[in-house]
Amino acid sequence: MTREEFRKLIEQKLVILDGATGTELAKRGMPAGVAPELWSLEHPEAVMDLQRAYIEAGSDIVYTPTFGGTRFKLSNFGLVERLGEINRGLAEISKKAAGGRFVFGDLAPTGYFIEPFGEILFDEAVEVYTEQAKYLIEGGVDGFVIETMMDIQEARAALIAIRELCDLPVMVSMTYEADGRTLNGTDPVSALITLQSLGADAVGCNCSTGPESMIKVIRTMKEYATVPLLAKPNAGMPKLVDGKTVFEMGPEKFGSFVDEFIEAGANILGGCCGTTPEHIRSLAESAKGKAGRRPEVSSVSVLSSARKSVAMGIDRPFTVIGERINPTGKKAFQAELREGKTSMVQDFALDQQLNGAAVLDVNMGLSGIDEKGMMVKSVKVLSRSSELPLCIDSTKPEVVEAALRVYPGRALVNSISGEAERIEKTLPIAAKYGAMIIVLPLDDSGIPATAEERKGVVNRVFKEASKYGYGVNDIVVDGLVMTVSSDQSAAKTSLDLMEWASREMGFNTTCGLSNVSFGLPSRDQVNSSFLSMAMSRGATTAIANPASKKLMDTVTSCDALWGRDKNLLSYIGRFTGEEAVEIREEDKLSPEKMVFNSVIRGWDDRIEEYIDSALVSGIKAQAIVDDYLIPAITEVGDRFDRKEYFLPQLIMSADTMRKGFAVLEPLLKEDGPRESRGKVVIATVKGDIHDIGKNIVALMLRNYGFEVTDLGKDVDAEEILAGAEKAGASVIVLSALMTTTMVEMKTVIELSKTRGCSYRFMIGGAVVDQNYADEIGADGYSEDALQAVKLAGKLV
Amino acid sequence: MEISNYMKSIPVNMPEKDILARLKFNIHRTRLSDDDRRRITLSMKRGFDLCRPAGMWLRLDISERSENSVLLEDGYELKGKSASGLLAMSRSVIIMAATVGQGIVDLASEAMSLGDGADALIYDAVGSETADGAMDWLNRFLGNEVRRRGERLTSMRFSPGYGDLSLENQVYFYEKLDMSRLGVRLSDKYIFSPEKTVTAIVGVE
Repeated sequence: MTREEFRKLIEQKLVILDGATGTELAKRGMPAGVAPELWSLEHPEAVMDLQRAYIEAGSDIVYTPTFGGTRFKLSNFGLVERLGEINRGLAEISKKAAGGRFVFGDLAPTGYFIEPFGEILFDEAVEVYTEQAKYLIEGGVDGFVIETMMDIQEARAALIAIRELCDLPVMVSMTYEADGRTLNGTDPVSALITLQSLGADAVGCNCSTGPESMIKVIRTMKEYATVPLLAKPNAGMPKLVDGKTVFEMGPEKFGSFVDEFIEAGANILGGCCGTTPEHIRSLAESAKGKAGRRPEVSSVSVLSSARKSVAMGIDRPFTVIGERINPTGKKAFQAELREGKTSMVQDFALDQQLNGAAVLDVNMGLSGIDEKGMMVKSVKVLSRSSELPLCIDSTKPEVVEAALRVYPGRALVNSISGEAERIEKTLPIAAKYGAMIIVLPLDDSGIPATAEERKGVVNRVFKEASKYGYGVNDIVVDGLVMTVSSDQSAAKTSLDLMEWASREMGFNTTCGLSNVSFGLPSRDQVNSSFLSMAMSRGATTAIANPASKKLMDTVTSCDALWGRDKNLLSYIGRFTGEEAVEIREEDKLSPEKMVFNSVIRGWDDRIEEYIDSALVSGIKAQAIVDDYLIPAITEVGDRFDRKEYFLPQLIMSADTMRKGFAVLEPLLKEDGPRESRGKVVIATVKGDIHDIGKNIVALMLRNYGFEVTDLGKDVDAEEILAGAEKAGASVIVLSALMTTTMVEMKTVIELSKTRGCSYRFMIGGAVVDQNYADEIGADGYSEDALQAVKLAGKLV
Repeated sequence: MEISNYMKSIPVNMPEKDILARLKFNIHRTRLSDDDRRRITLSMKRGFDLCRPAGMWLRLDISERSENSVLLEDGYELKGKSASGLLAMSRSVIIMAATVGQGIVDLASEAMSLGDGADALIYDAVGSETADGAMDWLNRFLGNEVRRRGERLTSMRFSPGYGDLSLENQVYFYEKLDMSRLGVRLSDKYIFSPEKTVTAIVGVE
């Protein structure tokens, strides 16, 4: 079957697939615990009986029973050496059973996860699927289905394997949980974008849910689908009846969803867990004389990562492509890349995301490093830690290929120019992996001076790209912005080009925004002005630094004015309750007020400076403590009690206060010993190694003026009492996190009583409560660090 | 029949809501400035990046059951009404373990020793919730696996230390699953190290 024949079949009718295989083979004698593929090979009559039943019921396509036919799965049963025989044999049996209907080779999860989410190398996964697919082709399959996938990267590996092996049609089917995402977190639109751009002939979903939920998934995808959509739902959800698991939905009900599926956009239907030939018969009868809706678009301007998709276009919110992951002009970043580290890559990614970037440009162009290696490393790190789609920015084809191969989404390639190498090498690579491309209007003769000449280059590149199947929506034209400080007509040239590309050609457009202001003062102002001009002339994206407040304010305002910001939600969200004014007011406050504010806000990087300023202005150290630090931490405690602050804010303030004390302590000593609220020892009891909670309590107690001796963790009763005696403490604080170790608290208290000591005990930890405190004779229990401070105040 | 497996890498997404809830974030009352949100998010991401979620599981058939115990095919007895109640309709039990490794624990300790209590607290919460997230993931993954065989998992799972399922069962989990393969050790007080390690049982019906 050719891909074209597959496409025509789907245009003619609603294509019907088969139903469940595993449970149906069990009904035909397959015992539990055996290797299903080997049992199927050894019992061809059972396989043929089932597949004939599906064909007779109305299936146009049946799957080979090779769900576990990869070497990884077969190795669980010691069957790797029979991999070829099993896959080829099962394809042959299926072909025989199908009697002229179509047989698709079934590829399914390996049971392992693929980099960047797991340990299996991407190319190793491709190899595993290539091996299985090769034998299925030998067995005569008409096409392939990659099914029940929860890892988009594994689905990509299987799809690439087939695409590198043959030109047969391929359907890819992910499995979505009740929350609408795969177990690995991929949403249906992101999966669709990634898989259809990579060459899938149909995309959809199977298993996990019944028809109702799956209809919603199909509907979500339809708007973006350039390929037919498939759905293979379970027969409802499993229930336990008389000790047996049954799927509640009968054939009649199952078949009743056909019209809803068609309305939602499905073109191919079948059944998964709990479905039988009768379910398929019902489906086929309901589908008679009907066909699914054709895809409504032939190309889409959408990028994807494993967890998110970003749509671009003149009617969409403006897309800022964050430019910061680029070593040019960043010495610290360069040094880190030379050491092979990527922590700044992650920091830049997060910062840009929080500042409003929708896509991340990744450029590893730095002399003296392995650009390809660092690009792949960065792409893997970002694929795990950021949900934003990536823009792969390199002039080297091999770097672009390595990045696109391992990237678990649809990327944007920056860029394809009219230069011969880009056209001949980079363009086919981008096309193979389904990437969108930025077209740069320059060629081997240089940068054309006029907009007209640049249009010529764009048209030539587009013509070449069209040969690989690129459509208008797959292209982003770069305005090629040059600095106006050397050529005052530069901005206008770029704007003219972008307007033409957007309005006349329908392309998305972009520009390296900051170039326009190079060499000028007040660059932020120039950049923002240029951006609003570009947006009014059709620009849909810009490669820029989203940390620029003015720039992002401009984007938000222009989107609101342009009607791209529905109900002005982004505008209101950005500008309501803005804190900038408050901060400027605070800058006018006296240093001692800022000491107070620093504790309130947890500004541990500023408090030392404000304390120094307060001291210089003549305020005594003790007054800073009494009038500003203590009231501030008390206010923080009140806010925590009111739940306006949560734990990290409470502790950030405590950390800030501790830093403040460290500055003041030498001065306070000069004025005599600091007044103590009491002496306390604290320890995690014997056998227990958890100490974060205990450390936090110690920090808070110190901040509130207690003298704290921290004895550490895993401390036995003798040591605790000895420590308390040595410190002259009146209160002992005990911490434990396990039911097996909390009993040590009682041991300590009993030992203390036996010896006639008068220590007062307070306890804390996840497994203890006030009842336990009462039971073991402790004087109190505290739920959190702040309560511990209050309790200690009562006990000393 | 015992069916075991070991997943060296579990693809957990950062459980941000659970981490914030653990840190007592109140969605209606807690006020967070942009700077604080950025800082806290960055710390969560840094911590999460050091988590190495991994897990293992073993399926065992149930031989006998009573009101107070469940006897497994290998002769081990899960004592207690909670386990017995959970597995009342089950034909098998799956014992599971998940860990996020030592890196996040070390990071929290390091932050505390540098005087950064807030980050230490955040890393600690990230480790705990990511370990729970890995167990959730394993639970859902196994749910999908058994469904293909026409079975389902019990809607609840139990961990040693909860209800009357004694912590002493950790020894059985540790040895039966060979959790040393996860780089985990067990103390004589039944405490796992790395501490962000969790175990649980779930029934197969």
